[in-house]
Amino acid sequence: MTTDYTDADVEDLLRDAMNERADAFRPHRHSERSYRAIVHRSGAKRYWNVVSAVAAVAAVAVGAVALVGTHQPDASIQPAAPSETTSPALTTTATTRAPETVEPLPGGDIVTPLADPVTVSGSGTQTVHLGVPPEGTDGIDVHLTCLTVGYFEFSDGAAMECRAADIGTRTASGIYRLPATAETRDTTITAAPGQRWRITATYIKATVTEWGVNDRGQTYGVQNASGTPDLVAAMATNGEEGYVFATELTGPQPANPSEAATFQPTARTIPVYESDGVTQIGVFTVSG
Amino acid sequence: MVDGMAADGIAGASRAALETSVASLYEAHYMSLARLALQLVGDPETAEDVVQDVFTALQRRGDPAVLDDPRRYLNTAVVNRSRSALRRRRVARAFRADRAAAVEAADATSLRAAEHARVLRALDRLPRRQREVLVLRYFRDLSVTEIAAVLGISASAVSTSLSRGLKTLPTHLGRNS
Repeated sequence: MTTDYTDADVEDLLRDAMNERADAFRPHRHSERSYRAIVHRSGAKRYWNVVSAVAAVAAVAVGAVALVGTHQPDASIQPAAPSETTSPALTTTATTRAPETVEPLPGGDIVTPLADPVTVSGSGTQTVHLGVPPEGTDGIDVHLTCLTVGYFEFSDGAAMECRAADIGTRTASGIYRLPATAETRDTTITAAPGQRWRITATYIKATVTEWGVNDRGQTYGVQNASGTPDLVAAMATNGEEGYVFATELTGPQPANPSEAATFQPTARTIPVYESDGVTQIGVFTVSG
Repeated sequence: MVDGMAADGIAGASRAALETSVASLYEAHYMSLARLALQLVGDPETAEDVVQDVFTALQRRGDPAVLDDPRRYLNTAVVNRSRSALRRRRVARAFRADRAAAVEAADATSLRAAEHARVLRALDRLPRRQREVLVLRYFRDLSVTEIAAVLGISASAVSTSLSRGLKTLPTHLGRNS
């Protein structure tokens, strides 16, 4: 009878039924393929998304990605052992995909891979030979994965630190872009002896797009090396995509050291607008 | 984490961080979001579509660093897209309901399994807000306040829907026999 159910009964039934359904659910698209599918569906076919897919596979695959591409590594650098896992899907992605570009958000990068990626594993400080950069190269996208605990430094001083809890997880991977010129031939990873790593490096050309300018003369887009536009791309709490005023993002700041000593930033809600800076489409909460 | 970046490397570094964060969000939340979507839309295929759509939008945006609360955002996005999926696929869903009933008849080897199937069907028949609130409360284990934030409604509205849902759901369960 319907009257047999108390609220507690219904709560228990709901929990049990939903958990049972969830337990039986085995998403079949939770894989590097699914992530690549997302990349394809989004139309964001820039190289960095391919690198993200590499990161995705690195988190789930056992072993390393074998040497990919036509560039040969330095003899002193050991490519991943043949016994290590190579993902056919990943290899296909990395080697046969034609350079593709898509309209980024205003101010964002359009990144075009100019060469096949080079993947090598190393230990301690080693220089990875990447070959002669194709004409127009202005950067190297480097996806670094820690294979052991350690502190791994890129050639420009940026670094990635991995702790024991990171190893084998997504947090053991990072993507970084190094500058490159026509004279670039290699890149060096600095690490303590015995600390192991793997990189996938690709010569790329990055073009920074212009910010948009609305009818009121305000710039809008994403932050880049040029600075911050008047309206910064943001997601509203309702999921709408729009822009917030950079000045409102910053919020009130202490005027002097004595104010700073007692300054207590609080969470604030600010409007999210269309690119016109007038039409509000949601709100964005700035953490305190 | 990446640190020690020179000033002229900020653009590249922040971009790299953003890229990594989308992938990290995907890795960390896909499964739980897919299961949340499953409770809302009722079938695995649509649930996965919903979550993939959410990440598609996030990928397109390519700027997750400006998400002030990624977990809440993802919950909200899944709820919103689940609503859209149900609207778009009403006909398909009706078909699935028929199919589900048939599957239940074949697989209900225990009273408990049969009861669970009835509960899930009853859940599907609730008004949208009540269904969403019940799922977020009893599957996602969110507090009333958190549900209010996810759905963009007041805490009192959540409490009302919660109470009504618990009262209404048994009316859809039918008799125990």
